Amino acid sequence: MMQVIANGIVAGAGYALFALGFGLVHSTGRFFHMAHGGSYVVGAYLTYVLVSKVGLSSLVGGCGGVLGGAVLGAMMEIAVFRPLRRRNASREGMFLAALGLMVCIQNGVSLVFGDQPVVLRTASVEPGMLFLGARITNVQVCIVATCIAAAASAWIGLQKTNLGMRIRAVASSHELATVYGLRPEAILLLVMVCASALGSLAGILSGFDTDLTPSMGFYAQLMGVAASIVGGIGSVRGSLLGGFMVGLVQHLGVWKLPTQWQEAIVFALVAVCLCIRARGFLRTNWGTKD
Amino acid sequence: MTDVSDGRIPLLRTEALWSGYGTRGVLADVSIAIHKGEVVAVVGHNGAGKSTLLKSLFGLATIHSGRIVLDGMLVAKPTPLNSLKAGIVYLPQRKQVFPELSIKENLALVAQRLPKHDRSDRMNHVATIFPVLRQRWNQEAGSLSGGERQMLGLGLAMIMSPRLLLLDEPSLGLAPDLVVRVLEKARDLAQGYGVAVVVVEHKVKKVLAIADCAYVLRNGRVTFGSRASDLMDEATLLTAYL
Repeated sequence: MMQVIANGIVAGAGYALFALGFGLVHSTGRFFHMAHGGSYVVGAYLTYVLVSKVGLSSLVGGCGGVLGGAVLGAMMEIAVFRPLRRRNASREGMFLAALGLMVCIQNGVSLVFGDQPVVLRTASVEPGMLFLGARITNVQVCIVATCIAAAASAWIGLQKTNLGMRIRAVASSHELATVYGLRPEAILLLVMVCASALGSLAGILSGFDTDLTPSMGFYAQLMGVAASIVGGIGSVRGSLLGGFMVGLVQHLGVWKLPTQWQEAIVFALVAVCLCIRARGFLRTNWGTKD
Repeated sequence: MTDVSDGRIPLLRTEALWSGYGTRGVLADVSIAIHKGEVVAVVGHNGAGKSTLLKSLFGLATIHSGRIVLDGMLVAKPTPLNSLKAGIVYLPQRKQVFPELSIKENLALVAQRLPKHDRSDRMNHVATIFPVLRQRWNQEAGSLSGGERQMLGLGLAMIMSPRLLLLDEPSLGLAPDLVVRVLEKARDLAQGYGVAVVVVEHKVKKVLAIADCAYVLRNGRVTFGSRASDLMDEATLLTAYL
């Protein structure tokens, strides 16, 4: 039982990290960023190249992967989302464009690396330390710690800094932000870069814990979006709550049920939560209005 | 050109301005003059192009032809950032404040455009002009009444020490007594601080009561321009509108 809960918490931390970036883009850019999983998978595979092929250390390779994910986010914003926004594209149009990007990225990774799983970790598999009856590896501890540190940094950044205030203002109204000289396009680019860095960080950490596959981004996207919706899109605390809820329900569910039910259990949770709190448990009050 | 300048040099003037959104034209051959310390009322039916005129002056609409002259200098291509740098501030219809931010955050956000050492002074100055804001410093702007939001909007504008303030329908959604208060505040800003204020307004009589001069727009064209007091006459107003 304790092992199942521990696994749920670790998985939930990864989903929360993903949901954090996804929610930031949704709140400021006001669209469903379905290509967020692209940064997740590109960050992980770039780290694989830097660590396994180039021979860099895991830390340096991981930093390179985060940087690569952030650059990919910037490219998506500049080449696709910004031009669409300037043409007054609908949210549905933006969603479709993002989904198309995600498919292209996944297929691209598949073409380059093949569909077989690849291994990112260089050290041999350790049994992990025993903690409250559950075995937890160093990587898993790192995933949970990184998630909490990233969430705390995001909360402080948004609520306590001038830049955070600007981000919340742009999320509130792009037009009004323009009227007061806030340069919404620059803010949206910055948010996309930070969110993509968070997404790729989630992918890299997951890659050190399990194997890499080209479709890992799509799966993370599904779970991350579910976590974001359950917790409240755009809310830092909501991303944490949603991530851990999804992770725990997913793992506790398959403790008694066949593993094929894993995704179904998560979306049953989403349905139940939406019935109770249609806007998520801790939805932020910024970035929700036109 | 409709000249109500009495020989004075205007702060801003437009000459045969044609503008709109993208390729769609809205304003046609509009020539107006705005002077320092003066309240200019712009009135007209719905769709006459009143808001487009303000957006054209601020840089939110597309200029097709004609000239905008500020301080005797031609403004080649107005953009919101250039307008703000030149001291032109625009308060849009309905939404002038960030409702999810507190009053203090709204003011601090706009004050970020100023040098650091000026920020708190300007914020205190605005709180002096609008005491109601200081009483609710940490309250979310979204929880303010319509009139209080308008005051905050004017406060945000005043933070930037504007030379020209463009107000788009400040009375929208306000109770009649609040409309008078907001318009009087706009007049005080003009008289007390030398700000040129352009007010687009549906409540014609109320805005003419505080305005120095007025323009009537119809189908994107200026059909009448005079001292505001001249337009107060019922027959003249009727002629200008029809």
